[in-house]
Amino acid sequence: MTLETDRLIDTLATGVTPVKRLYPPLYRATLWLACVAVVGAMYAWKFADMDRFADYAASPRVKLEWLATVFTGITGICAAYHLTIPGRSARWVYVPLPPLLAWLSLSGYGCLGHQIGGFDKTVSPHCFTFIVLTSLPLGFLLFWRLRRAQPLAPLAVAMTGGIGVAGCAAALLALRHPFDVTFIDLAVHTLAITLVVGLCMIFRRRALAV
Amino acid sequence: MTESKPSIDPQWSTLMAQSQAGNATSYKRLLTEITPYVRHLARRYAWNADDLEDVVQDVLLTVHRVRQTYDPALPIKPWLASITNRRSIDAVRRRSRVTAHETENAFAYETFADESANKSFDADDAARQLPPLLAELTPRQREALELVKLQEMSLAQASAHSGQSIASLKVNVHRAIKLLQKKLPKADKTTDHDT
Repeated sequence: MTLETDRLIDTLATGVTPVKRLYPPLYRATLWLACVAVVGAMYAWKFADMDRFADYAASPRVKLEWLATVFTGITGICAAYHLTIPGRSARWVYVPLPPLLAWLSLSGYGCLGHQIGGFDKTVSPHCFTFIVLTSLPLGFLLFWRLRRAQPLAPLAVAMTGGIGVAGCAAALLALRHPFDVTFIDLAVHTLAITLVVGLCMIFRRRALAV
Repeated sequence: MTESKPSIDPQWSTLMAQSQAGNATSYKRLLTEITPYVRHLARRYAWNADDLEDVVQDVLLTVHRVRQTYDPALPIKPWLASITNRRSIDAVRRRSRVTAHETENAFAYETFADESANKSFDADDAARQLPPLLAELTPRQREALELVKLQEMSLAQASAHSGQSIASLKVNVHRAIKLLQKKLPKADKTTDHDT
């Protein structure tokens, strides 16, 4: 062992302080999702058209689509928490992809009955704005909690976290926007998700303090 | 002399748990015992001895920084291996980026024992001009220069103090000196001979 490494070990050992061990990642992810679920329930109670959503969700395809959105949020958040811990499987980065693909595929299938559709100035920008603006505070909250782990793979954490918050935002949007989208709307939704994930990836180092 | 293959010690988990509680003795023993293991893993990335030791020290610093993420109920080797692999990959990428644009000059940050050998400019003028020039450096360059050259810390000590990796410190010191050399007026090329 070199002299410098010995000195470094002495320095680190001399300055060691107690640290509060992190809880298991699944536990921390569940806590985070529970907080968001509470806020989501309050939002639904205040702003959502639940009767209309219930009618809309009577269709099995719509039910599956909404569940896929919710699972995209859940798996994205769980994957982000797991990827902050060294030694956990790197395959967690793929976990949100199946529900994300299912969500987009089922949305696309739902568009088939509406042909291409136009850009509705009263709806399409609202969807985009809602997903992005709802994802921002969720993203801040998520990365603020993830920072404690000082993740070594910030890109993977940011990407899965971004997918997770976009999924949560889209699930909330469906409660207020309970009708089939056109292809243009689907494109707008996809653009919003891409923007959210992209912003998370671009600002990952500052957001995660690495 | 070659190091023997590192032994696998199941007590490392216990030592890490004690270290998380702030036990300095356990922590020192843990870091000492894991170092050969870390060096063994990092050697796969084909380092020369200096670069290898830089990566080992970087890994030890990262272990220190993220020790709160380790769960003593789980094996410690995957946790250590993940940190070592990540830091090794980061070092390979950093080296590729640096060598693509810069040529390392070992003499750029070498200090000689004889003061007159270090002069490339008038010392009095430099002493007056240096403080405002230091303000023109980026914070990380200034910190690296102050710790390594002015306070004469070793690279490992400066890294532990500043949080910058050893490779970053070298790059920042090199760039800081280059910048200062550009900003300072050129030395008079005529030399005074003793009469």
